[in-house]
Amino acid sequence: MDFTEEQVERYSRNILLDDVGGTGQRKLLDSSVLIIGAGGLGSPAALYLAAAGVGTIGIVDDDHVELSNLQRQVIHFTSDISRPKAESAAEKMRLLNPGVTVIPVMERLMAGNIVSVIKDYDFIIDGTDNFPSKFLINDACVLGGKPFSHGGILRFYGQTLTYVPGSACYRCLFQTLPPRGTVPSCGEAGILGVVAGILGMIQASEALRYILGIGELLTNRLLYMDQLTVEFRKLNTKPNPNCPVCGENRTILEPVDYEQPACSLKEGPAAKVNL
Amino acid sequence: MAMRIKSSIIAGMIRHAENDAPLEACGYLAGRGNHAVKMYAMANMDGSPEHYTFSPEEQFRVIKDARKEGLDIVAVYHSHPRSPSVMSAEDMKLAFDKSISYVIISLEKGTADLKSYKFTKGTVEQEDIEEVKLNFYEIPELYIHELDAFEKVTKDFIEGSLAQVEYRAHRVSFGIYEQRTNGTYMVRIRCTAGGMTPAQLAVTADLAGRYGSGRIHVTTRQEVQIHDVKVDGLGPVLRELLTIGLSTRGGGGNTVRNITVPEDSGISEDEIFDVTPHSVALTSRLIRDQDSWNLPRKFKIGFASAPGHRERIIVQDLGFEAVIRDGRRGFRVFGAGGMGAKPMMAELIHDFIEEKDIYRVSTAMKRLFDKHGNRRNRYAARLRFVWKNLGRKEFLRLYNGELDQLDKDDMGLLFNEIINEGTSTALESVNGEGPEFELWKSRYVLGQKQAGLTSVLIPLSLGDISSVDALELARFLEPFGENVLRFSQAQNIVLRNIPEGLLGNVSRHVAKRYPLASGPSLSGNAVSCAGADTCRLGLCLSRNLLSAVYSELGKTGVDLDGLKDVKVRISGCPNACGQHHGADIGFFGKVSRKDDRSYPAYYIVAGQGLNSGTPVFAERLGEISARNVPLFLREILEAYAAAGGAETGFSGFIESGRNGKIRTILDKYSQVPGFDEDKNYYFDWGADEAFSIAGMGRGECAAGLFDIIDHDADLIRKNIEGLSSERDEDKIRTSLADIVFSSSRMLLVTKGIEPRGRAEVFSQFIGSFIKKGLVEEKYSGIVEMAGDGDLDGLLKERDLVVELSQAVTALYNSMDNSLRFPGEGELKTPAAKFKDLRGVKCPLNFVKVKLILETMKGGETLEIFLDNGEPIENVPRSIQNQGDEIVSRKRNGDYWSVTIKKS
Repeated sequence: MDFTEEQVERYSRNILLDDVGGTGQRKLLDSSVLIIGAGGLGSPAALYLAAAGVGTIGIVDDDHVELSNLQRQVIHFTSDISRPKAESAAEKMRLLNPGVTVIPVMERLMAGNIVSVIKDYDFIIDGTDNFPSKFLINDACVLGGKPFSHGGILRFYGQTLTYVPGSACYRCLFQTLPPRGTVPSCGEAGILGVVAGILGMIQASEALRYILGIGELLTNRLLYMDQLTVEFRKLNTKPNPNCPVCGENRTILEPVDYEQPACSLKEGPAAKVNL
Repeated sequence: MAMRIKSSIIAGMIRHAENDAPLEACGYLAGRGNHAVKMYAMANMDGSPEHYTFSPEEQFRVIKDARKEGLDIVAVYHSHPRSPSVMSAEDMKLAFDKSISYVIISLEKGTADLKSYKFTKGTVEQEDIEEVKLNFYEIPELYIHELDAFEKVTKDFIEGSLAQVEYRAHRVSFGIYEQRTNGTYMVRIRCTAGGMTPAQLAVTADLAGRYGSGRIHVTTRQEVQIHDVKVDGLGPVLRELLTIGLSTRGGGGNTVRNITVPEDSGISEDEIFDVTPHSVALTSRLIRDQDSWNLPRKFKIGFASAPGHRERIIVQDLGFEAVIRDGRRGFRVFGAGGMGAKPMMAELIHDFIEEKDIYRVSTAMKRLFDKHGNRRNRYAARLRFVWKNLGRKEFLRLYNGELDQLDKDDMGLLFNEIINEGTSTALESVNGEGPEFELWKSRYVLGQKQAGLTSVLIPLSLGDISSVDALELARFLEPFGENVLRFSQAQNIVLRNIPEGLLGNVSRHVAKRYPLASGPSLSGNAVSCAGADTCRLGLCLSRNLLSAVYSELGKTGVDLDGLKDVKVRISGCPNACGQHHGADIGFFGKVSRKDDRSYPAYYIVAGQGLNSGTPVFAERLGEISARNVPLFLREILEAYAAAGGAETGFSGFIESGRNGKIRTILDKYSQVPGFDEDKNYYFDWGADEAFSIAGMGRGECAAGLFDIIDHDADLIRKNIEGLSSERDEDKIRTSLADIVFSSSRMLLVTKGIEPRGRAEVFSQFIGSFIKKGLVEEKYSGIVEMAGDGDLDGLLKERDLVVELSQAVTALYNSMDNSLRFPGEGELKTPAAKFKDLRGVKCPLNFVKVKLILETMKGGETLEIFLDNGEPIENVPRSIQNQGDEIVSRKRNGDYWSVTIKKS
């Protein structure tokens, strides 16, 4: 468990924590996390995970930085406009902590490439902005036995849950994509930047605590937050036996691509959630 | 911000207003900021019931006086004899200085009503008045947190998760000492200048009754102690003391101790000026400084207010003697004095410093001590050893270096004048007449420089007062105001500011409760330390001896009133807690032996001249059994009275009688009969069991043990010297046997072993020294021979016998001051791992420790070096918080060695 002087000092506040210590810091340095989406959720998650010393961080995004992103995607700066988001994010993470390995992936994850991209990572953070991606990531992680954190945001609201093999997956709660046009996207409905920030950090916290093996993950629980009232509610869930990807009679046996506009989310976890 | 005004000033303003009514009274309040510490009653030039004007001359004089004392005018006060305490239009007009406060005393409603006003942005607003009560120090905020931490470690100790030795480190600096009976503690309360208010005394007495032995003990440093407190009572006692403004921090340990002031400061006609305010201000500052709690050894500061008080400061680490130079108040400063087993007169440090500089000087001296004091050897740690080691020139050079680094302006002190005045009490005067009253008055009552007021000494037997008596005294004193009592260095209570007309009341109160008050004052002035019944270091029962002295002196026909100034001082061991170096005739405990039995004895010292031009300590006169001390003392005092008593002076008497009369008396009492002849000599005063050194084990000071060791060392030396010229084989045989015997016995005492008989000496020596590897195995043969009485065998091993004695002597010389030998104690189990964390800041030092500890197995130890200050304060605590154990922490100069055991 040798640390360099620089590491001891850089990570001293982690090491001071009884639940982390040198042992925990070593786990972080030896771990890898993949962040899918270098946007509103991915930005804070990427920065905090790099800062905490997660040894290898993959960052996936095939988009380019736009001026309208900067209101919430804080890893990108004005001078980054038009740069690939994955590249921009990787640069910031390396500047923050040269001691972590950052792997930018400038691709759109589809059924064809997702399995090979996620296979080397210990934990996946879903920071995407559209339902096809969210279901794709869920299916790929469940099928590949990868723990991941789901996150979704809209206006002032956000929701997140964590999947580890055996717990309820995203599809256990939401069997299929909402019909086209029933749910507005961020582009249509708007989003308060801090909502993305808070939720992205909760996802980063899930990743860290998963790696460290401490505390309680948001498994079998859906956290719903309202930043107008600053209310956080946890809804208990359980694996759905009829889930098409992890239930008793599975119908989805490999990742599937769906088509939908970006940045869509139901307003709240209401109707179709199986609790 | 509220206007803070001392209660005595509030009372003073009201009295001024009442006296001048129906005219308006007026004056200035001086101080700093919003804190008024001095009142100037001034004349109202208008002589009017409706307005006032100061005379320019008086105004000028007052402002000049205030400035001289470093004070600003902070308020103008005046009275409204017949109107409410509001600012009238006239008052507004007359309020020329908009930066100060205006205090109005209204007498309209019969009882005085005080209000204070201040201008803010052109409008006048009322401000609160905060009454500052008489306090002999201000407890810093931090103390409250320290108390929390102390309660936590006490809890840990009770629950068994904190080791005794670790707990001691915490409690001692809180003035808490374990007594001789395990599990009982003494709590020492800071009383700067020996001062306490009646209200504080009442609570202290109550605490002593509820948690302690039901008595309060007055110390020679003018503090009070509560004895026999159980460990679970410590927290509650400290907390309740805090509620009445009393702290125990610095009552013990290597800290800035209680600051002493002559008990008559402020009231004596001979004094230069009252030094009480200085001691109060200095204490309040020093007890705020964290570096006051972690010095190489204790640090004692004292003040002298009159020329005759030199003796009070010449034996302290730092002494301030009041002087006036060119009309300015200041101090002559002495340093590096002390008593103890190796006393030294303090040296002159400054011929004059300004009064405001006492904190700066104290801090510089404290820092010098902190840096250069010997922390390894607590017997050579006090400031006087720094002086001895460095020499005058280097000491002063380093001291001046420290002084230069301290900002002159930052460290100036503000002094709250402590007013000595009689109270307009409604007490009905009790007639004090008759010869008994007059005799008591002549013995115990002194006039004050304040006309009509008197000071009364209440002699306490052995410095003790029962809770009940103390509580009744507190109640009795309540009508006399807050500034009414001091504890004296002679362990008595001295009342002050008692109106002469009420002496009858005091006499009546005192006569019933304090038996010594009906006798001559010599007894009350006699001092003894706590002695072996409570002190773990004590050898002899000095308190019981003093009781025996009281009773023996009661039998004498000589007029002891003529001898009242004779200072009798008794210490139970060579540590000078009973201040025997300052004795006219004094005693300090030792262990003596006769026929292989030990008995309690004392060295006699006499003839101090601490107040003379070239001060001298009392010199050793001889030694005497504890049993014979009272008779000896009585006869000495009788001889002194016969020789003219006070007229010759005691030191003159000693000098002239050293080889004559005194020698004769000493010889008369120097015989000690054998145990079978008279067992009394082998029982200390008041003891139920024969005198024994058992229990005076290692780790405790027990300096008297060295006497026992030296006794054998002497025997060895004499025998070896004799051997070289001895031709008689029988005598050589006996000498060799004696050498082996003394060699075997000499160091047993360091292990707390007190052998009964010769056989045990040899067997214990083999068991505790040879088997333990402290002395080589090759000597066991001759030790066994000596045990078997095989003198011929010894004769053949003559060289080995001599070698053994040399080996034991060498071992003795290598013994450290905690009675450990090389290879023993901490050296035996060196820490398995080591990390030097000097120069590493918090919390990185702890991070590094934590990382190392994570790699270690339970039970393994790690030694670290930590810097003084924040690191030593924080890191060990953090380590304990995560559940690992601090085995030891030792200071080495400016860093600490801490040993940690992983849980």
